[in-house]
Amino acid sequence: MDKSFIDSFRDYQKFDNWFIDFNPLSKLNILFALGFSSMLVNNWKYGFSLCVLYCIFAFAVNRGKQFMKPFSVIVLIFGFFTLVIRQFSVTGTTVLINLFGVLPITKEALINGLNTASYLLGFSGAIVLFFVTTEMRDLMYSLEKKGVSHEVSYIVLASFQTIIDLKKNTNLIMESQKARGIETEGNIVNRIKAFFPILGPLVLGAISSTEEKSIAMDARAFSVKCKHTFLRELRPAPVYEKAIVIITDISFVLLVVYKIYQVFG
Amino acid sequence: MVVAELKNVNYKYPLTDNYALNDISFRFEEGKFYGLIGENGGGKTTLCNLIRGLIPHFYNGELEGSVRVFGTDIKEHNVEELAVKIGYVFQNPFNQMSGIKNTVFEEVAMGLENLGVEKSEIIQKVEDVLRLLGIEDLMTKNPNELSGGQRQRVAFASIIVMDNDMLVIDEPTSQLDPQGTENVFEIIRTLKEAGKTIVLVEHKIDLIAEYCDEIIVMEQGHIICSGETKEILSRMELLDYDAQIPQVAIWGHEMAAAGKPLSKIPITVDQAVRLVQEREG
Repeated sequence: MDKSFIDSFRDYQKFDNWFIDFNPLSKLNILFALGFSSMLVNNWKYGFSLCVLYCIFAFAVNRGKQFMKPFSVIVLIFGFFTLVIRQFSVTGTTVLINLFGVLPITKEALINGLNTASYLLGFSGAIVLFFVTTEMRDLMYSLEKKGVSHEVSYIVLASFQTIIDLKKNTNLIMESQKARGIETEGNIVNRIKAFFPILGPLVLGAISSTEEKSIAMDARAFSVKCKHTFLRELRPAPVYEKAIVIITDISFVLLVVYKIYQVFG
Repeated sequence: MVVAELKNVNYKYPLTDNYALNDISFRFEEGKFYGLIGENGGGKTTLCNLIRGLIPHFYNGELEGSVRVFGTDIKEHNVEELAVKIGYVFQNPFNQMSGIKNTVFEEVAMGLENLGVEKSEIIQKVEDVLRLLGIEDLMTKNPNELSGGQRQRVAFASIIVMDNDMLVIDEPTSQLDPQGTENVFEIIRTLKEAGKTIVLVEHKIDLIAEYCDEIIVMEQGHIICSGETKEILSRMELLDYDAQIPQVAIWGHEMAAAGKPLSKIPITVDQAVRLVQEREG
């Protein structure tokens, strides 16, 4: 018996650093406020500073690698794509350089592109940072504690496992097809031809396993009407955490008020 | 006390023409261990689904006759509440994992969480059940990455931890090796000794002969015969219904045919040894 593992359930769950320890809803609140603030400010200096801050923060809480992998892809796709599109859609007068002698890069289009890219990255960076610092089960636990039904929680969590199971079953059916002499590899046409026929058994198998799974969950008293308890519990948010959330929210509200004043005042 | 009583029950699944259960009448008594045997497609799993309330609540279909479980008509039962009284383990262990728990310990604890049991009690009960099933070494493993046999044990543990009054168990050992199978039967015996009513579908006839109190033989939706284990499993005619009887019972009949009859037909190896010793004087 792994006593230390069993005892880990007796107390609140402990994580490897202070930010991961934050209640998922606190993290969600803080990061969403930051993400939305980049949209409101809509300034590339602010947006990119926020992105740099996310990167530093991700490394500071030992999630640097996990953060950089998806975030760098987003930077490349969103950032680059937005900059290119803006060069075509925004008319500018100040030409910085003439690319290949025929494509003028204007200052106005560049700044507009940077602004748009920065708020997209400022927002998506917040989302990525949230998910690399929060396990989905912890988020659902917090939401259940706030009154979200356990059915919703189950559907969200089980869908992740379902994706893994479907992938496994796809490979399994593909292997069976291969064993029967059907060509499943080679050029793209062959692969497509082999893929479509497996959709039938894959979908039917998924439906049948859903039926069995619902019986299994029913046998575990899933639908019994009573207040559920939790083996794995997260600590209630301490005062300093609540203070950080409140300060962030107040700052965000002030920013919103300022922007409204800017627009209508 | 009768825990489940079926009178002239007929049932057919939706969109089918044939009856999966045909004129079934039987009384399941409290504290007894019933072995349900017979050919594939004979109606064993359907009967389990009926006792558990999945028929008619989950599968719908056409149900005739009277089914009373714990004194209440099955149609009036709240199927969710019935889950508290009747534990159900079915054949396929792969679909019995919740898919939302990261460790076996949490997986086994899930039923108790759903029942609102206090955390300290959950931990104690899960520890006990893992020890009982000998799967303490799996407790930190991801249940979705276990082998079929391991999942079968975890699925079984996840139900018995809930301490139901009655257990309906459909082929719980299909993925287990002989030693694992024997262990599961020992655990079922312990549960029976704790006063639980058990209905077990199983093809491993030698173990059925050793552990069950009563046998129900099914064929094409009918109960062909039922009664005490020693009486039913010594009948050669069961072979005509594609049901098995223990090898020692066949040997007993062959001894009689060869003119060397034993005082009765044995159904377990121990009985056979005793009867031979008795015959040898």
